Amino acid sequence: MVELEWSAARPGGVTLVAVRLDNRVEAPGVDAHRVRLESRIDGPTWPPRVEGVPATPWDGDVAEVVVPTGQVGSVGFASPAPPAEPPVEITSVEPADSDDGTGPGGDPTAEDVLRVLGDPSPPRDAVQPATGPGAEPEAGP
Amino acid sequence: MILAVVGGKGGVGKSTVALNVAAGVGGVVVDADLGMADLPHGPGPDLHDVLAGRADAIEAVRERGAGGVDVLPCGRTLAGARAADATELVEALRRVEAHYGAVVVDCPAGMAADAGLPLYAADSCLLVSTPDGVAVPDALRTKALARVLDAGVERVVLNRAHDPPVERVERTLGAPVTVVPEHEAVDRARNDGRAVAAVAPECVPAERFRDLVSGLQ
Repeated sequence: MVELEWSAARPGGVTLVAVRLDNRVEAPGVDAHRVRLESRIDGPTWPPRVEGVPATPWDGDVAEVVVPTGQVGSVGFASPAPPAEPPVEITSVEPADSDDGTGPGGDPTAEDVLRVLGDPSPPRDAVQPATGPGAEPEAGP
Repeated sequence: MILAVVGGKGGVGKSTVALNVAAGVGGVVVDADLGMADLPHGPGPDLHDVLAGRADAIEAVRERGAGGVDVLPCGRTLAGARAADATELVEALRRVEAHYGAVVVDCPAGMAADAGLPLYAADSCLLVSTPDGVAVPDALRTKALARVLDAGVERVVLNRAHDPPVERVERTLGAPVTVVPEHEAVDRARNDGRAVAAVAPECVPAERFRDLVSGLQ
């Protein structure tokens, strides 16, 4: 059975959770396990982002990671809410192919293209701040 | 059909090719250069508005807006480029294709996602270059990107070319070459925001664009 190890820290008012998924188990004929995790923190899940796009294993509070048999997988996230014990729980483990990869897999999506090639948006500092009546602050990180 | 007009390097004539091919196929030319648009523009919603969710892609199309060619123009501001969600381009192009049929996308230079996303949405692409040692290697890199994103190269267009090494370029880029020579009618048409065939239908570049389009259909 895949073993869950975790650590949590809360520097600067943000909870950072690191998870290890130890799959160094005897599983004859099984290349890998697909592990489904869910955050138990009572607050939003902030996944790691690449070029502004959430990293593939995360979909809301749930992550799906394929860990090859005999190896250790890892996943992490942050949250503005205080840590819970445990911060994550494994909700399912099932056999998988080791080349299934992590996350939804299959054909690339437009988000995958953005993540790999890089966000073309001009940097925030290059944009004149909006002023005057009706101007709205820019949303997002 | 969604046809991406790509090239890697800036200033090789992608916008000219896109406008002329759209005129030839009777399609919509989409200015997808989110940061440095250069196809004709006017009042009304543009691609920045579409990608920020403020306008529908169909209502942003100016029918016969670019010298008689249907155009979906792009905004000119950095704030608009920053507010745009580039991933929405894929759905916007598909909406325009479903409504108008043929879509020709004028792509930005470079290899960032704003060049990759039109290739991701496109069925195929035209690779545009000038016949020199800077633009052709950039076109080669773009071709590799097109292959990964499953957009086959229909043809290579060599712009502003005088007696270029066609065979060598065909060998390097792995696709048939159409040569568009430098011509004052091309400059005049570009300055007027029109297709070359509308300015000088008998000139060599107009004839080459006709051949290019007939090879696509």
